[in-house]
Amino acid sequence: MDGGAILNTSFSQLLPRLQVYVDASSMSEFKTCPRKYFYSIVLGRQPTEESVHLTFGTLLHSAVELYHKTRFTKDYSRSHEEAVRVVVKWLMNATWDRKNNRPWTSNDRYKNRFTLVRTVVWYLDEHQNDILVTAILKDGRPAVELPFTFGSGFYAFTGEEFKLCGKMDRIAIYRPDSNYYVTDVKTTKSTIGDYYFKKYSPDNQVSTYSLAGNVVFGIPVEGLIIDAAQIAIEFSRFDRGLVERSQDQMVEWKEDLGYWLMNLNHCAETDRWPMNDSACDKYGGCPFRPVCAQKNPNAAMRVLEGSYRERQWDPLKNRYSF
Amino acid sequence: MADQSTYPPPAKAPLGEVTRLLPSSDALSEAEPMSMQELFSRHPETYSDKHIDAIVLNMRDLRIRLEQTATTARGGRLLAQPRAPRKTKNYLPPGASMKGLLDGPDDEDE
Repeated sequence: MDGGAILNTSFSQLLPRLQVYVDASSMSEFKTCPRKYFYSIVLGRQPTEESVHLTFGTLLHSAVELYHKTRFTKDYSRSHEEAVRVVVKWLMNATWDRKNNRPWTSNDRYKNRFTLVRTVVWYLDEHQNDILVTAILKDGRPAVELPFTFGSGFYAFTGEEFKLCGKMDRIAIYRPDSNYYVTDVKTTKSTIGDYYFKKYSPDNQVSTYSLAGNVVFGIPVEGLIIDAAQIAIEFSRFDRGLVERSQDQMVEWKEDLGYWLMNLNHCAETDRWPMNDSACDKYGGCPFRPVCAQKNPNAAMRVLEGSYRERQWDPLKNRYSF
Repeated sequence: MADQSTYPPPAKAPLGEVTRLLPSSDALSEAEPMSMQELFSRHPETYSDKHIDAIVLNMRDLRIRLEQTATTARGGRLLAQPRAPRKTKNYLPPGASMKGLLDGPDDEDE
């Protein structure tokens, strides 16, 4: 198959198309469709059109992270009011399109600059006296945006161990019982109810973070607390749910992880990335469908290189590089 | 954006009071930067603390107006209060240590 591999620190030094540092997003792509994973993660291609969901979610996470850092860093603590203003000022800057000297314009009626700032202010106000308090690390830093890497116990044919990696949003203490929880913020356009939280069982990211909480941070985490934000045109609404994982579920998930990593290993070794053609219609339609629909591999590569921009996902940096 | 075009809502006043309610030139110049439309189209490098305050206050005002006017969603609350997650569970077994947490992230490689 044509198409050169892009330098990415999460990939093997021995085999450039073998990802050895695997995060939840990469694994989810592979589980959905190996060919989609190949295009998006290995070759680092994304649709030319910006994903408003990705931009909105990334900015929301960064804003909440900044708030916690501003408010809870030891010897640097600011009041809620000061922290909110720091965040809003940063947000207005971050959503200014300097290239075109204009505000970030989203064609989405739900997720745009205005609803982002509104959501952040309302979310921070709502949680200013939260019973979930951000944990403080030994060095005085608040436990937010915590990168983690740990061995999976599974090895590639190159002899390298597959490592699981990622970045946790926050570790918080629940005031009533003083226990520690991993928390994450999610956005949705839908009304949030019990069914919303049910979609995280099973879920690759929740299981990865649950395992990481246990292995890396020594917390007996059995799940995550998800702060869900519903983004509507006229309002934002918030709800919170606990998504649990039992020990048995985690054992099974880890066994399955071995299966998926061996498949990943096999695809990289043979450089064959089969299509899962039953997933093309999922999630509103795969963005790479026009590529896969081409009549031969050369035409597919031409479409990929001509109509999709390079946008590398490096989980060790945990951000897209632009 | 659609939201901004309807915000703030037009002042409702009896027809006879319209002239009296017209702002003075000073008031207009003071009020203008406080409109959301203006605030959101400004280059952020020109923001002063006053502008940031105005954005925060406008957002909060929007929330209060919504609370006052909207009806509660079916089977839900309009605005949630900080609270426990939907399901809670004791995570730490008796005697479990948090030492790993306090040592962990500093020692992790990126």
